[in-house]
Amino acid sequence: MGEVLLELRGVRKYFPVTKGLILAKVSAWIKAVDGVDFSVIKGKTFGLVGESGCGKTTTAKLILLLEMPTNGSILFLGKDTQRLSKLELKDYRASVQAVFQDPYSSLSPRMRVKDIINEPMVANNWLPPRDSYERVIELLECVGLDVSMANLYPFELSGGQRQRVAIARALALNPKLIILDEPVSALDVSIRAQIVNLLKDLQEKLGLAYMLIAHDLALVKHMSTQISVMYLGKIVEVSLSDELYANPLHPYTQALFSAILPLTPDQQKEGIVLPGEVPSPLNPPSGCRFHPRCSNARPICQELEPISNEITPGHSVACHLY
Amino acid sequence: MTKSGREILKVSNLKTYFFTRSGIVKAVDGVSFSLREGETVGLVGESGCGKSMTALSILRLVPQPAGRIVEGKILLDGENLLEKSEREMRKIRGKKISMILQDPMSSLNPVYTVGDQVGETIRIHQKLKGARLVTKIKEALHLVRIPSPEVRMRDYPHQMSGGMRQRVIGAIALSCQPRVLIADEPTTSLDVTIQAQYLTLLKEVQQAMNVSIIFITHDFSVVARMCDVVLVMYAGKIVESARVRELFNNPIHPYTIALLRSVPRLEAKIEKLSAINGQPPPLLNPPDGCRFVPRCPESITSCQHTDPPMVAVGQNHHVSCWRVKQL
Amino acid sequence: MKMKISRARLTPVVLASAIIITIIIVTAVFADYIAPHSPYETSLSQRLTPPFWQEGGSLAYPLGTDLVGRDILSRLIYGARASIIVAVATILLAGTIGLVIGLISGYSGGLVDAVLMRIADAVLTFPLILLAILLVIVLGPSFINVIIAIAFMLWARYARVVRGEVISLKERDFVTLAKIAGCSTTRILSRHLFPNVQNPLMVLMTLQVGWVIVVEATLSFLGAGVPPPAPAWGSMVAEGRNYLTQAWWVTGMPGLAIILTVLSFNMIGDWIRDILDPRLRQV
Repeated sequence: MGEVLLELRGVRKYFPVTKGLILAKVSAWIKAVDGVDFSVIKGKTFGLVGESGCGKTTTAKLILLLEMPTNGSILFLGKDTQRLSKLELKDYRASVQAVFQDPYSSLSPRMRVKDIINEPMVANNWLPPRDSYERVIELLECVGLDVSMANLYPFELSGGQRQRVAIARALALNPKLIILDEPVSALDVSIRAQIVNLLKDLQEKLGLAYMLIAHDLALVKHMSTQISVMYLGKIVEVSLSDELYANPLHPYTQALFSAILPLTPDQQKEGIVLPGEVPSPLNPPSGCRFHPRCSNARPICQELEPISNEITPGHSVACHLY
Repeated sequence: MTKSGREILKVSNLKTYFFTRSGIVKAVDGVSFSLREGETVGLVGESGCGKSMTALSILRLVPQPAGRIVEGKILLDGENLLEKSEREMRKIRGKKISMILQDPMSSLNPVYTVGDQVGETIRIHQKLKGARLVTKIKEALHLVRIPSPEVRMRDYPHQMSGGMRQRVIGAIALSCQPRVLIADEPTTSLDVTIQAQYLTLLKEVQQAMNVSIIFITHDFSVVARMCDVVLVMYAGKIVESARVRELFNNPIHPYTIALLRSVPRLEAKIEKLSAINGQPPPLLNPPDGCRFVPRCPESITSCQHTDPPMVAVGQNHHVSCWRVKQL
Repeated sequence: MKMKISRARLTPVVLASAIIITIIIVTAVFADYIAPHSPYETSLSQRLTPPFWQEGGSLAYPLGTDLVGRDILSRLIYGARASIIVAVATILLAGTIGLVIGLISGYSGGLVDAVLMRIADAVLTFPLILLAILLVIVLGPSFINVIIAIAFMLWARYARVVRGEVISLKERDFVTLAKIAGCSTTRILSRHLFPNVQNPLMVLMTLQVGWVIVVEATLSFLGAGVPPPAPAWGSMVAEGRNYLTQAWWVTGMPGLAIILTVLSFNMIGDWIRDILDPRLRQV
């Protein structure tokens, strides 16, 4: 186990639903994230998977301080992110960066590539202009882009090239952790491998930690050391990626893996098809959130919420079956 | 199980070009294939390869005035669709050939109920009204396994989940029992478990209605699940076509091979993904010769001068590559 | 694909409009050198002479004279100055105010947005010309006050447009990523939002030039505009209204000038909108 960079303890994020026009009263809460604990280790990739509405995007926003937790704490190198001084906040912003899904809206349309990459350094008064442009060139080479692209505008680049610019920008402040939110799902299939390889190379070269959010389980397994499965705001299973694939314990994880279509026509099988749909986070089911769709559900599942138990070292599940 | 029924749709040398101020965009450049009764043909490729435009060409919905079908024949049950008038085409769209698009939210009109939208197609083609129309709507919703159709038909699109909306679109497309269903990336925006549900449903419906499907996707695993025949497209052309097992067991075109290799797999543990170098091809004023040359690890001089023809390399397996002749 | 200004869209109408506008601006700037007479010089013996192509007219006064013998062409030329300066200054002033308020309103949201937009709504619901007249009466007639009055009517429209754009832009990823990179709000507004709001604003501003000219002419017509004896097209129209049957040119010439100018600006405005909008959305 390396150094723990980021730790989430009992993090909850509830969004209020208000009724009334003038005197808005809170009528309900959307429990987007409801008690999440995990750690991200320096230099390793932590994968977060789950389907729409599971809370993974909200978790990313909490880590990026775009939202504040309703409850619980997020510790970065031991410091509580909700209690940072102005100076510490600047350090945090430099240490934790992000790359988002859509390469077309991630870049300021009216800024040139070199200014986009330079922006974080300028905004933080890092280097005098002459030196910072040298660094921009360094970063361009780092992500495999030709220096001649520095003067281009985003609309002159392809999706893959734009994503590389977004990565270069994320690297500008020498971050320790980069949140990758679906970094390749909007790219053409033939380009994805390029970007994935680039991310892995950068991780090795620069000792970066990643938090990878993606719905492509095969991709997450390829890149991550550890994977966490989320369902309706809770983490249902955490494990090292090989172990999770070899031995998924939680019924939801099993269904997720079984829903992945194999890449050969010969191995087609009728997987576990989950009945119904993901319930709304406004009114999550009582007890274990997954029980209405679980084929292994027992009476206790409806009454009591399961606590996470470590079954084998490094592999925890929140399920009454274990 | 393979069904070799009769030929429902035959596309021959279809060419759809866009005439812009900066030059000609050859979106579809000589595409030929057949669709048999009850079969699913997969059109696989990345963005810009021409798969969606092929579908739009079949339905004669190519954006005008810039776009035009400049050559080719599209025979539906023996009749050439390119020779039909717009009025005749309107009778065919929705009734004989139907299409499902990728984004369920923009495919549905937010201000009409689901029932109204499903009913519209039925009303136009079957000229039903009143109670008989309502019965048909309920049947259509039931066909796509939407629970409590009498209640759900009064819902608006935003009140439904993504998976449900995609089923509604399926209901609209299938309501008049078309011979051919074109599905353009129908599951790309869906969650993995919902995708599994949807594809299972689609297969069942296909068996029940004996409808032929043209399935457009960029995802090979979906192809493996759904398709009987696969056509791999690149830069407006078909570079390889084969029955699905043959394609996966024995891919020949360098693009197909590279694409299959670059996808991360659950079972395999690889250090580095095998990437395809370079960028997707420009469709504006394409060069002579094979379009894959800039990214092909095996190109030879003849590849740059002339476009390779489609040659048979096995039973029902065709490839467009100069290297094949040398095999 | 590089951004190109397409030459194919330059229709003859657009070209003609561009030429007319250039002529007007040039005459406005170089009025002193171009005008054959002083716009103030009266000559009672020459009052109400017709334009040179009619009987009784002469090339000394090409477009005729008004009721106190002033050369209409010269007054038109100097009047162009008033119209152009008022139009440009007004739009720049209103645009700047509208831009700042729109940016702040759109980005802040909440109470600030609500208050600012209610103020904008209030301004927008006033009958425009009445408002301008009132302002001029209150502030007193002068060049600057006319500009202020019309700008006051105009800023709310710009603020709304800018606010709308900001609201749709502020949720875009690149703004979120700027926050993550540590940009201050001012920096986000100036570096990231403003450049993307420029285009719709510029289009709106260009399309409004014609309208401002009409408003200024209306104000002058009603006597609430640029104070006499400074020549302004609107007041020239007013001066001739009792002589329409005998001396149509006193009203007709400035009227034509107004029509041509406004039409030209509108054509150019449409052309700019056509060029800017689709080019930004790459296929």
